Amino acid sequence: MEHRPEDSALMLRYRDGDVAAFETLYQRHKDPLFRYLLRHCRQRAAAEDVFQEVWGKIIKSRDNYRPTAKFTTFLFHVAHNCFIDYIRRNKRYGTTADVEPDSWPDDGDCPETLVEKSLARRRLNAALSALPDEQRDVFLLHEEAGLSLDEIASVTDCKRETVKSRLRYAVGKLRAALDDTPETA
Amino acid sequence: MSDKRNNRDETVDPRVSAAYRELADERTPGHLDHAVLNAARGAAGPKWARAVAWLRPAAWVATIGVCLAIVIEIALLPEQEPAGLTPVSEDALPATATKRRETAAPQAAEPAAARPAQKLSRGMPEERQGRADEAEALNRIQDLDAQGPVVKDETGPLLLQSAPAPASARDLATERYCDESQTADPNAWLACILELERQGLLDAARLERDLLTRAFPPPELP
Repeated sequence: MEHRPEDSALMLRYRDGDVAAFETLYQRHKDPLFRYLLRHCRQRAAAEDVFQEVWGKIIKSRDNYRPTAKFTTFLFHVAHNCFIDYIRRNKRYGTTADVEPDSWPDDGDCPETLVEKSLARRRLNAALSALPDEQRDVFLLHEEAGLSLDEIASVTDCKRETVKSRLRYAVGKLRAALDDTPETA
Repeated sequence: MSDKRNNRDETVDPRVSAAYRELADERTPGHLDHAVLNAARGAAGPKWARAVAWLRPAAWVATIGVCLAIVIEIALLPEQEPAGLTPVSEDALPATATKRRETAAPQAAEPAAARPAQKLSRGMPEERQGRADEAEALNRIQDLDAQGPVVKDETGPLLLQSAPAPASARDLATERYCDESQTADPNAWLACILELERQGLLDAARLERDLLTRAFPPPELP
């Protein structure tokens, strides 16, 4: 059984100069974080900028890092704040979107499967884009980061019940989009 | 119970989660990986690399500190005595001074020998003032030596023992107070000596008396 060091331990090792520990940490969290930001920013270039900003802050904060919470909570809290800063910096946020479902990479499936996936992606992407920012944020933190309601509440500085409500609405809307049956919040 | 189950069903829908996970398969671009990892390596680095950043300023500070220490040390050190003016204790001074009498004339001709002694006597700490005074006294002795072969210093501890005149003192004496016609006759020589003593030239009288004693044994003296 392979030993899997804790994220916090890896961060502490990186604080002490172990770059390999940071690489392991980065490999674990880079894709969920990138998707989280991609869904939020809707523009790939913006998502990449915020992505680098987030990791830059993580790197800078290594000396002051204290393992008081899960590293994932810490990481997505930084990402959440960076995204809010991005919205404040960019007044035109949300006016355009260049993340088209058809531009995503395929797995080499047959044409029928690709068409089905493409349609499902279009519906899911449309449903996600249609979600209010708060509901989408909660859903992505739940799905991508795997955070619990309490952890999401900590990241978003909201009450647990608020988080729960937002998640319930978000899941209902996405379920309706997958069923292709309209539902109102 | 049913409410709790409903809440769980509404917040966690496996079908929605599965659909999202199946479709959300974007990967981080390679250039982002490269950029972030490079930043992480650059920020962390080996511990000695952080120390290297402090090496240059630390080296400058150390160099300046060492230079200051050397300058202060040199300023506090007693100045080197000029060559030929070695400090001597009061007990040893007469013997040293006696030795120097033999070479006093050429050294007294050099003004540089007196200058450092005067320089030493100015603006020095008390413990060095004594040595400077000794050097000045020695210079005075040398000056007296240069003036004549007889040296008598009655001012303090720097007394010079008159070296016994050699047998050929008459020949070596370059300045005589009694002429040859007087020294040929003991009585005339003695009269000359008495005349010198009467005039107050005691040193000259003593020299002539020494020479008289050597030239004519005591039984012949009156």
